[in-house]
This record gives sequence, C-alpha cells and structure tokens, in this order.
Amino acid sequence: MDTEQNHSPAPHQPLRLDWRIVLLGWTLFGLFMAGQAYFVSVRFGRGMAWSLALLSEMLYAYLWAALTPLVVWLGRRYRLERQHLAGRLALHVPASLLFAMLHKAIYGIAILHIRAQASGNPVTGEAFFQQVMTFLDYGVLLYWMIISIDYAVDYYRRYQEKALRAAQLETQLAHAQLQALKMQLQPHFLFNTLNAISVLIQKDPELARHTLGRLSDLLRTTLDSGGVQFVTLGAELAFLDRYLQIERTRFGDRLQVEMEIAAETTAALIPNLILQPLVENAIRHGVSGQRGPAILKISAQRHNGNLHLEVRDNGRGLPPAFDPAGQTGIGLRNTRGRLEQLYGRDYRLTLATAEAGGTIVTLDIPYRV
Amino acid sequence: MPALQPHKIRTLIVDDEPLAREGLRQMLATEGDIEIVGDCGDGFAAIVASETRRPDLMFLDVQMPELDGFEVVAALKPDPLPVVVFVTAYDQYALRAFDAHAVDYLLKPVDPARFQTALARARASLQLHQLNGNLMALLQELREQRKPAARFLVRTAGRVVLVRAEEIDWISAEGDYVCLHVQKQKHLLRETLNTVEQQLDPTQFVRIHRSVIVNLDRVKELELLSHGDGVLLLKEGARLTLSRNYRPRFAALFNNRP
Repeated sequence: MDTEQNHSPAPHQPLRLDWRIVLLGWTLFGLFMAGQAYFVSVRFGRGMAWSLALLSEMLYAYLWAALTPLVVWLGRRYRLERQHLAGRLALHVPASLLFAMLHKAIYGIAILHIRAQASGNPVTGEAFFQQVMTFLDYGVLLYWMIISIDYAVDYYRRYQEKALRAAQLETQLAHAQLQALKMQLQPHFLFNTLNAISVLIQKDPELARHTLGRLSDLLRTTLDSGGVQFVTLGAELAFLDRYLQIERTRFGDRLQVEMEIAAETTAALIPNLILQPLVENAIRHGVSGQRGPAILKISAQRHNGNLHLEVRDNGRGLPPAFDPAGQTGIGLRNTRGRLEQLYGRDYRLTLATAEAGGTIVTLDIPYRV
Repeated sequence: MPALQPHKIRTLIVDDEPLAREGLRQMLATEGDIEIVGDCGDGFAAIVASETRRPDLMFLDVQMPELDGFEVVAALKPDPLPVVVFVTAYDQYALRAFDAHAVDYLLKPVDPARFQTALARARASLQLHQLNGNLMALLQELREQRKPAARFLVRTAGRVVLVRAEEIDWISAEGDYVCLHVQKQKHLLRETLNTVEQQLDPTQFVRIHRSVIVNLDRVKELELLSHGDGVLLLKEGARLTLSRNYRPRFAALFNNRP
C-alpha cells in the first residue's frame, strides 16, 4: 500500500482567451474610432457618411480582433522576460511590423474595393501601396497594446491566485493549530493527564510539577504559534517531546519512543505542526489499539536534497480496506492540502503497513534551512 | 478470631493507565473494609480476574484499548455481578446514561470526597444485596445505542480472546454452541447461529445452510451440483455445502458484487 502525489501538467494547453471579451473590446474600439472619424470629417467640412465611417472602422477593428489570438499566442509563447529580453525583442519588433502590414494589406484590399464600388474608379497598385503604408505605425502600436493588455490581465490573475493561495494556507495553518489545540484539549487527553498529575502529587511531587509544566508548555506553544508557517525541525521535535513526555508519564512502560534524528536536520525548516497529527495518529491507532508495549519511532534524515521524515508504530497496521487515496481522516486530508499548497508536487506522503507489522508514515519535503 | 472478622469487600481495579490504578489504590488503602484482590490494565484481564477472584466491587475505566468498560461488563457472568463503579475522563453520552439509570461513576481527576460517596453507596448496595438492576438496564441501552463492530469474545482456559468478524472464515452451529472457524482454529461460543448472524454484516457473511454461515471474502470456487445444491471451496481448503434453499439468496448477493 503506497500512495504518491502525481500531478502532470497538460503538455498542450489550449490558448486561454475569452473570445467574447476580445470581440467586445474591438467592437468598442471600432465604435470609438468610427465616431472620431465621423466627428473629424464633419468638423473639417468633408462630410463623410456615417455608414462609411462605421464600415471602415469596424472592418479595421474586427480584422485586428481576428489577429488577436495569434498575437496573444506569440506574446505568451515568447514572453518578454528580463533574462532573454534582447532575443524576444528581436522577435517581437519585426513581428509587430509584420502584423501591422498584414493587417493593413487585408484592410487595404477590402476598403479599396468598397470605395471603388462606390466611386466607380478602378483600384490601382499605387493606391493599395499607399493604403498599406499610411498609419502603419499605428498598427505596430496596436500590436504592442494587445500584448500589454494580455500581460496586464495575466499579472492581475496571478496576483489574485497568489492572494487566494495565501488565504488558503492561512486557513490550513489555522486548522492545524485547531487540531493541535484539540489534541491537548481533547477531553480524554486533558482529564487523564490531570488525573495522573493528581495521583503524582502524593506519590512523586517532583514529577507532578514537571508534568504540569509540560502540559502548560504544550498549551502555551500552541496558543503562541499563531500565523507561523515554518519552524525548524528541532522546534517541532521539542514540541512533540513535551507531548510524548506526558504520554509516557500516563502510560509508563507501555509506551516507548525512539528518535533517530540526523544532527544536521534539526535546522531544516518544516511546516509548523505538521508532525503532530501524524504522531497523534500513531499513538491513537498504533499504541492505544493494543495491549503490549507500544513502540513509536520517529526518524529524520537528509536524502538527495530532501528531508525524509518517518513515523512508525508497532500497532495493528492499516485496516485491509484502507484506501490511501481517499483519505477519510480530516487530519490527514488537511496535512496533504497544506503540503500541496506549500510544495506543489515536490513532496511525498505515504502510508503503508510495515512487513513486521504496524504502520509507517513517511514524508519527504525539500530540504530547506 | 477470624469468625468475628466481618467479610471484607473484595475489590478489583481496572484501568489502562498505571497511575490511575495507583491513584485508586491510594484512596482505598485507608479503608479498613476493602481488600484489593487485583488490578488489571485491560478489559481481557478484567474479565478473567472477575471469574477467578470473584470481586464484590469493581472500579472500571470506561475508555480502554480493544475492550472498553461497557464491553467488559457485558461479558461478565451474572452469578452474581459485582457492584460496578465506572471511572471516566470524559464521555458525555456515558454520563447521561449513568445518570438515567442511577449507576454510579467517578470523574477523572478523582475527587476524594466524591470517591467517599461512591464507596458509601457501594457498601450500602452490597449490604442490601440489591445488586445492579440498574446496571442491566444501562447495558441494554448501551447495546442498542452503540452498535460495536462485529467481534466476539471467546473464553478458553483462563484466557479471553477477541475474534474480529473479518478474521472469521466460516461459522457452524454445533449443538448448543456456535463454532467460529478462524484459519484452522475453532472457537466455541455459547450462542445461537441466528444471534451471531444478526451481528454480522449481511453483505459479507451469508447463510448457505441451516447450520453454516460463510465469509464471502474467503470463497474461492463454487461448484454446482445437478440436484440444486452446491459446494463452496474456501481459500483455506474447507468444502462447504450450499443448500438449494439458500442458493437464490446467495446468487443474488453475488450478482450485486463487482
């Protein structure tokens, strides 16, 4: 039984472009230009027909609308990025000129034919050439405008996604804290611990004070850790140690904890409170589920640029019908969600039944300090 | 003069946490009429101890691994039942049930004054020989409310074994007993096949004969015989008869499986 996070990005993403927005944008542009052309011609007494102004300007705009997906595709495929700006400019500057000429060529043929039909004069090559060359710079400008707008929209979308992701991370961290708090305030844990302390007051006052101290530390750490996404493995283990000390006091010989932490890994950063639910699960399912001495092993190693963490118990193992993909436990689902947000595809969380019995939970995350 | 010595209350302490057991021992130590006859760290040991040491009074933790306090009481033999004082850290449902049936309980951490009250009540009910009518009513309610995963407590010489339903290959009726077949081992239960059948998941355990229930996960082959009966071959080797009377139900179940 072994699960892995598998994500493969689609190799051929379709061009994400809403044609309705494109059409709307160019329609507004065309209407504006037609209005302007009509206004100018009236002001200067040339008396252009409104219908002709509208026809020619809308033709101009919709031709650009048809070219827009191509321009957007080029802009995205060869992004203007700082590291290869020169190369990309060397592509886009001629491309902008080429697109402007292509646009004007099609526009020129169409508009000259329309005018020829109206006036009866034939279309000449010279007129066509002139038609292509006039306001060519304006076409170049429009090419850059399309690319700029596309980039602006993209930046805005990314900004929003980032804000959303930050909010999600925040929620998950809050959830993890709540879980940790619940573990301590879990009535069963809390009252049994208090009961143990009350017995120790008579039997071993020193140990009673010590246990009370650990319980207070535990509550304080959780209450204080608000908003911190990453802590060092050392800090997380210190937190776990307090929890485990209490459990050992309660269960005596029935709980043995072994830690195998490679010295260098204690400085590595791990998501705050990520180990706690895994250890809690191991105790709940592995340890409480059996009568003999329960052995809990926690290990950490650095391996190929990853931090490899392992929580192992000697309990009954995973139930036969356990479906590792459809994790039902809220705790585990939340853990996966947080890891995905923080590391994308760069993490691996597996649950398996060990050959020697018991459950092994492993977590690999990028090694960061 | 042992004859004049009043009979001491034989007391059993059951809790999975050593310190909790010690706490009860501490409090009982000063009571002259109490004799602690043992302490147990789990429900299985508690059932065995209740039979071998015959306690009059039992302090019983509710939440324990594998077998909780209620399951322990349900498995006790009523000849007669000891007075039971439940001890619990937190279980709102159980508290309501205790209150409703006037069964005594202690909350952790155990308050010495409250402990004395519980002890006084226990003494009184022992003197009056007015035992546990309420306890039985409580158990009845718990049994209805908390449907436990199907599992069976099997008593063997000096031991209590827990058999989980999914471990069972097949079940047969044998006189007054029911026999659970678990990988060549046989466990006898003093129950009827019908009551056992009711506790099992009907999509996994199927009656194939008047006196046989089979775990579908263990079936390897089905051989149909000409006169309507069939023979089921199980993975571990047993050959069981599929009676023609049960064949339609059996077939219907298989059609629904992927």
